[in-house]
Amino acid sequence: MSIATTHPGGHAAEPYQGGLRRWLTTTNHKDIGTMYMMFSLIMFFVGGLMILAVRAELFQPGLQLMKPEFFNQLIGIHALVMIFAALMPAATGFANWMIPLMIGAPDMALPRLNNWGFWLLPPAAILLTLPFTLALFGIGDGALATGWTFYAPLSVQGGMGVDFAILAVHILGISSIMGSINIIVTIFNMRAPGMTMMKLPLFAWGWLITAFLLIATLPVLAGAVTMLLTDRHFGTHFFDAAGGGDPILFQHLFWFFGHPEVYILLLPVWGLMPHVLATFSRKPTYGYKAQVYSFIAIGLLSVVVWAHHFFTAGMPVPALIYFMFSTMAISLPLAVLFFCWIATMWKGAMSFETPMLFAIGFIVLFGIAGLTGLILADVAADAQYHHSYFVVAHFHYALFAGGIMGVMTGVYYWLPKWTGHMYCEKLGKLHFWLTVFSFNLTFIPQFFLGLAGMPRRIPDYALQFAEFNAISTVGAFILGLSQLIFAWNIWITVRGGKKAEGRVWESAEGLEWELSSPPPHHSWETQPVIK
Amino acid sequence: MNAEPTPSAFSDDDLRRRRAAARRLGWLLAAFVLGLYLIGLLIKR
Amino acid sequence: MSSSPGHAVPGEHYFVPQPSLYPVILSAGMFLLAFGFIQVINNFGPGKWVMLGGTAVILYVLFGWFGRVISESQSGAYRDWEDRSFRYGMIWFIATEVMFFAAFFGALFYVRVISVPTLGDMMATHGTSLWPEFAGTWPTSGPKGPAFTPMGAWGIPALNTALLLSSGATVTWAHWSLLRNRRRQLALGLLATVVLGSVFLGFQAYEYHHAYNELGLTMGAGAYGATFFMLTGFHGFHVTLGTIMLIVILLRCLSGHFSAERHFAFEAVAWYWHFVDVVWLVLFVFVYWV
Ligand code: HEM
Ligand SMILES: [Cu+2]
Repeated sequence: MSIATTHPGGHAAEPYQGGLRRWLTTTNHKDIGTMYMMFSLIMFFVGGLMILAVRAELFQPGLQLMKPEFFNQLIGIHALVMIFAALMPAATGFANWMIPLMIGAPDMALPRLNNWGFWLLPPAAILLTLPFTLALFGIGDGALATGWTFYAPLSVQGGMGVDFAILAVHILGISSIMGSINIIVTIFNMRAPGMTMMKLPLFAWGWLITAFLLIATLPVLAGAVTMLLTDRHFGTHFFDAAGGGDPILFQHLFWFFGHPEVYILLLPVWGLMPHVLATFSRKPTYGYKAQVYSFIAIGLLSVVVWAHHFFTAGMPVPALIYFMFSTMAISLPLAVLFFCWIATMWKGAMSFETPMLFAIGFIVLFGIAGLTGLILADVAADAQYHHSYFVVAHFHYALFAGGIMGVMTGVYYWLPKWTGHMYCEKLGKLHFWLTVFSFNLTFIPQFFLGLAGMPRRIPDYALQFAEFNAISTVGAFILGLSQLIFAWNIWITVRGGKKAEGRVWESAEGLEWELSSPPPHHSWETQPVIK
Repeated sequence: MNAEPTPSAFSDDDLRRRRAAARRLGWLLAAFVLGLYLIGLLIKR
Repeated sequence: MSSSPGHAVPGEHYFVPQPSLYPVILSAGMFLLAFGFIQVINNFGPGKWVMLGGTAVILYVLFGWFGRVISESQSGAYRDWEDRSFRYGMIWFIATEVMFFAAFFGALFYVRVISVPTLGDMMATHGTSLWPEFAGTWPTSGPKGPAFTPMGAWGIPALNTALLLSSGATVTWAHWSLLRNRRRQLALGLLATVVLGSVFLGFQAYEYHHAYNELGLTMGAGAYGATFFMLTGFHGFHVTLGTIMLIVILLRCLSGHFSAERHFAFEAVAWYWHFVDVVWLVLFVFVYWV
């Protein structure tokens, strides 16, 4: 694709707001993107600390550090924080920063709404974690203790931590929906003249499908937790068989959202991968159209497979078979994506800067997530593996190796564009190798534990599981500590470092690289024309 | 605006070598995966 | 998937609003409302007052933020390009609302088609049941629920259907009048819509009163009561919002806002009203009628 004009026009007269006021009031997509990324990084460490406490407890059999009730609270809030406050905001941060730059738009289509979407996150994070603090003062009995899935009837009977989590989910949901609407409108209405949908960067395509999935499924989660709230406090019987309701109804509603959610977390990453792989293979992306169609196919399939999360709860055999095969069908478009990623590297002149290392690490480890997912999708096998550590390992290959490492790929790739400085390549590589090593040290043993029958969500376990749990805990602590390198590297890159060129990577393609690094506060005020 | 591309960090020779290496590694991995597959076929449980 | 790319006039500048404090304040207000609500339902802290404070903050922002948007709109800051953003935005917002109602309809269909019949068939299918005498017919408040009389379809609900359908017609009449620049008819059409919406709400309030006091039909009346009040309640809430929005639009029309060419706010509210209308039709069929 070639560009006729690359000059942004004159700057709009905008009173520059210094200090805190700038961040509170900003309508600028770059500022808002930065806030999303910083929030995500902070919450990544908050959620990480929680789970390190859990792993410490699991280092040995027996109860050493905490009461089981507190253990249950930690795992549930860990998951909610990681999913809603670390991964999703990181993806939205990417979208805010990059989509306008990539499609030649002056800003997001609805800038004030954009600011609101971000500022809903801190209140929600406070609501999620506040019950821990209140419990210290003798108010209530701590946070949500049901795990992140809120299953009834436990969640109907639970303490007020459930109410905090319900309200937090409502606010997080509003935030995500506002973000999604904004992204859809931006992609449909703000593209540079000449940028047809089939010239749209794949990152924007991935996010477009994500946004549609959010719009289709988050309101259903909102409805589900609302019913939970009325069951808890207003006497309804949605999830109570004595009133003609059904606890399984909650599982249907939750996973109608929950399964698409895993694609919501990953589609933005799948969108950014081809950019990184093409840049460092010095070749154009292989199979642009195939990837677009795969995104669409995955998006459609993902809303019709939800019941694979509760095969063991009991359902008619035809339903089991349907959900098994539809789930397995998702691996077809997913395999197309894998093929395209690999074919992009095939015969390329590859070089292995940190983003490329993370991208390749992502492909290999996320592949394991997909393969173990196929095992779980098999109804007969799942009868054995459901609610075991095998599932925990599976979804950490998906969400940490797929999600978080995908986000790290994007951060290393775009950080020089955002800050105007090169990050430290040595530290980046160290971070990568430590992460890959300790991630596998943490989670490979969990596959074995699950296969041997260790259930998930328990603070104590049988003696036979001791060794693998000890190894896993050691891995987790190395993994946690390695992330300090990441934070440090970001810090020094923001503060200074080698100057980055506009086209940070010499073979990178796309509008975003036509701008300086960092781009001016207002970019593409006059849209470029794509020929 | 400083939109000029960064001068290439790699010489043409270097890029050629990298291309060849990528192709070799690709075949190697393909052979490895095929091998795993065949072993899987042969194992009787 | 190919929508028309970009904007019409090359070189045109998109309207990016000035920095604004409203979003942050709104978030703070929502935090207070949520936190106060949790206090109220769990009986700790000064919950009521926190909720009241939160509501006040939210109202302040609604007036301020919408006021700002209206004055921007009146000053001509929005042209076709911005207008299209608002339209797309409203369409996808309504789509989220559709999915929100879908959750409750899903619950209704699930209990009617799956959980209640299964519970009734337990003796036949499994030879055992916690509640062997439970028949599993709809409407029901479940094996252990209180006795109640279900709401009939052909009294007030049918009347309400007629009211809402006519209100859909009157709002369309108002729209046509706006397009033909007949301001009096525009105002009349809107006024009629507001009146019809309000009467609908009045009837619904009466119906709720009747249900609680004479029919024994409460939120606690098992699966029927839960789905009935959740669906009609959220619908009624949306009618209330829609009526308030229509009143604002009416007042704006009276002060001369909107032209035949540019009236996004009017159309957005009209779309919203039609959406509420359609939800009611589905609700009338599946909650009251069959
Ligand atoms: C081919 C691809 C995949 C298949 C066939 C698959 C299949 C499954 C199945 C059947 C389960 C339920 C296991 C059980 O609880 O017994 C499961 C759990 C899970 N999967 Fe996957 N999966 C795939 C990819 C992914 C991806 C891409 C993600 C995330 C980005 C993901 C995240 C999860 C999570 C979070 C859970 C556990 C949720 C919980 O119980 O808390 N999976 N997967
Ligand atoms: Cu799933």
